Amino acid sequence: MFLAEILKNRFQSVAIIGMAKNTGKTYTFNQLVMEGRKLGLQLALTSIGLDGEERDSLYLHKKPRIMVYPGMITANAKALLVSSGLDYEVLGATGVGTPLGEVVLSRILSAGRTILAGPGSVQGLAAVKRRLEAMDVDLLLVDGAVDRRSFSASVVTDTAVLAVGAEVAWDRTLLLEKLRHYLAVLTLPGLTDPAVAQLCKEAPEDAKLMVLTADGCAYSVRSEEFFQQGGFLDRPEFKNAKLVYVKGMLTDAVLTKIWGSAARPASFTLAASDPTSVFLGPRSLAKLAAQGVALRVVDSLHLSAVTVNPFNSRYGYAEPVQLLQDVGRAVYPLPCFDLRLGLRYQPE
Amino acid sequence: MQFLDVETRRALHFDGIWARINPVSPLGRAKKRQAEAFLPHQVGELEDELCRLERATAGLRGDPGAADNLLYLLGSLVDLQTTLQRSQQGTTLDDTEFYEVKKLLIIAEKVATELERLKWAELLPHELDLCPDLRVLLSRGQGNRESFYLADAYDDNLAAVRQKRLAVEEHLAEYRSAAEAKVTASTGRILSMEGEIAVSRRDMEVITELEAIAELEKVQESAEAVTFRLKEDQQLREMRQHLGLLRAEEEACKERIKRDLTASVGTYAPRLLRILELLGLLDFLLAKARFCAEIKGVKPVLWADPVLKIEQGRDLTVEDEVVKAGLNYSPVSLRLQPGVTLISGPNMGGKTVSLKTVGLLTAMAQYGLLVPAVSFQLQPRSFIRAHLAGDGMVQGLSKFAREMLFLREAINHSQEAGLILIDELAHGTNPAEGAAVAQAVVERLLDQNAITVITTHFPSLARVSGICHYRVKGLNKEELRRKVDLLSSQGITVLQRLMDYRLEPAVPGDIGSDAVLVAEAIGLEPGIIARVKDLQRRETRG
Repeated sequence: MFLAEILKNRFQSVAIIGMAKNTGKTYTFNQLVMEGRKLGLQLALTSIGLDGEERDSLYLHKKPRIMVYPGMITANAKALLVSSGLDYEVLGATGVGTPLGEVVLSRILSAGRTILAGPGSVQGLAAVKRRLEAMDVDLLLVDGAVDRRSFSASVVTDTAVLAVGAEVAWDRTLLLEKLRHYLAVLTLPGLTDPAVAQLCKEAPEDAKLMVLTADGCAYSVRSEEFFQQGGFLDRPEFKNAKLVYVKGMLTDAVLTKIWGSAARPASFTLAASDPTSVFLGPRSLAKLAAQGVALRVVDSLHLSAVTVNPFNSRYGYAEPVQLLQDVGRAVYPLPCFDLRLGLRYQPE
Repeated sequence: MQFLDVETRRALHFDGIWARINPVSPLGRAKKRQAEAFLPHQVGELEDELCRLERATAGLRGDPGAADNLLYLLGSLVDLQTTLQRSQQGTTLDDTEFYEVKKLLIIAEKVATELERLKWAELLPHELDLCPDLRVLLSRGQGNRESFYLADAYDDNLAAVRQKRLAVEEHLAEYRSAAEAKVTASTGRILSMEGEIAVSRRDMEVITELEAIAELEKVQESAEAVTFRLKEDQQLREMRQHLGLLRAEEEACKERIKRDLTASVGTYAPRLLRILELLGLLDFLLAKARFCAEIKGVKPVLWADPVLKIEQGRDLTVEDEVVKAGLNYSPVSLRLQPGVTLISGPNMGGKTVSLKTVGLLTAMAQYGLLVPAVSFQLQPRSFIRAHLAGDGMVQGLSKFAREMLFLREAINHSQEAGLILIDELAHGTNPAEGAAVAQAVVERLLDQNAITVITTHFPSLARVSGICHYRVKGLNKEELRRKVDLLSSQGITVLQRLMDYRLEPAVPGDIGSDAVLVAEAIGLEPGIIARVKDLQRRETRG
């Protein structure tokens, strides 16, 4: 089974993230729910925010709902829980607010469907996860919303599953190009030295850069200073940088600023806090690679699998087996599945 | 007259002190926001509050972790006032709200037990009413669980309809399960949430096997795949319809129970609000106690004597700065009585700090806090007003104009038992006129009920009859002479080290000042210093 494959690594929390709308993220989520139930796991379900998808791409049903069964625990916004029509036991409040009320922990006591709206932020999700860990939950499944927050769910969970669909691009070359870029960012390796990672985490609140030099000195550069002319980047100390940590978003503009520095070191490691804060385009990544600059993250994400969905809202269905082959080959050695057809990519 | 106005709060840095008191619950924070100073007619309540605070602070000094369990419990409190109001208005509460009410009762019980264990029961002004009957009602059929569930025990009809619903759900699940077992045997897969399974046309063998399963039907065929779905016969469809009806009936039963429970909660609402009130007070008290333990505060002595007496009082803000700079902080000792007390002495001698200390300690005491001092005795004041020198133009008014406005208001209320603090009275105008204004103001405030403390450099004020006068001890001149070589390199620091900031009763008429010495030590041009001394000599002779 798909889930068994993921659980081989004893992960206790999985986020399902989608590359775009209609990539079959909710189908993947429900499949994990069904398989988790079949395996007899104590499941807890939540989402990051409320998914704005109106219709299920696979069946064109009304807004897909998450299927829940007796015994499962949900972390859901109060308004959705009380209007779900489900039988449930209220286990606790979390203090995490959403536009639909506080996120409430409940044990579901009847089978049925519900809409999930969990914490809207990474901090909120982390708080809910901590509460669930104290409840002997075997596996927490997090449904990611289809936007940048979707990725951020995977910062909190042990691993993630990426839903890829023909909706991303009908043209196969373009789809694979976008996918490779997504994967390159999502799977950015972490810093190997824990002491350096800790130093980056402790960067001052108003810092934009933290620079470590070859002789062991650390400089922090405030946002204000970073964006002004003739600041730290033009000072000789920058020439000796062996690691440049960018706090907050790492964009093409930030990279251009570093690149344009008169005192830019010949080679260095560029680090971001986690893949969700890397907003670099394919050209920037290629440029870094060509110049021998290693791109790293302080907190890396783990990706367990990729699922494919042949549906495209404009052109209909792509040939599913071919799509699985193409995507499977592009993401290999990551396992790749078409859950609807029950197929797994097998390298030739 | 308001006890503390915005200007005075700012002058005394009272808001900075108040910000260091951090309750852990929304109720405690609300109590902090609502807190007002205890006024002279509330001396009994203030005494009770200070006694409770002293008790809690002593407990925390003995064991800083003593209140950890209480803080954990109080930290999980939710403000249920709106919920309780809604219950009184008859708006049906939902399950999560019953959970919150039940949780409140559980927290209250645990808090009471913890207070008992710590022998801190007297920290609450009243005993907690744990509403045991409501707790039983909200726990019906749920054992000792802290969660909330509308259990069968609430209503026989609910139990009956729920049982029927579960039986139907079980039947449907069994049907699906049996069909799924066959699917899994053929394909190693399970059915989707919709009861479907799709198979690639490349897998004809599997398609053939699924076609043979009686419980499945083909619902979609495309060039690439065939989709099967769990078949539903008439009996299953009827069962599903029946399930819908049972669920609706169960919901109706639950609504009735919730209405009844809401009515019960509404009846208990005043008692529950009282619990919230007491837990909020406890949280606020513990927050104050943590702060008071940190500052090593002592309980102010409230007495009927209008004399205000401070022994070794500390201005916390200044003390922090001084300690950070590696210097020794000199606490302030003073005895003040209704009328006017002057504080004079050299520049940099800490006159303003002494003035602020008087105000800060009085404000803290009347806001129900222990104070940073060895001892502090006071008769609660009806107001505090402070005017500090050194502020520039505000709202288009010059410093002098603002001071006059301040004096007008203070003098108007000087018959009341307030506390008026004036830094460098009337120094913002020409010295001759300023001295005259200052003397007239002092004479006006002399026999009033308010305690007025004034810092000044005007010698004429020291000669006003009936005035009480303290003087900063000032620079240790012997020591200064010995360290004269350090002055050029470490000027101000040396001065700070050699300054004796303590106050002492002044020789009548002696205003005292080390202005020339300070200027010289700071390194003002020697020619100017020489000229100053020359002028001083001429004035003395003339």
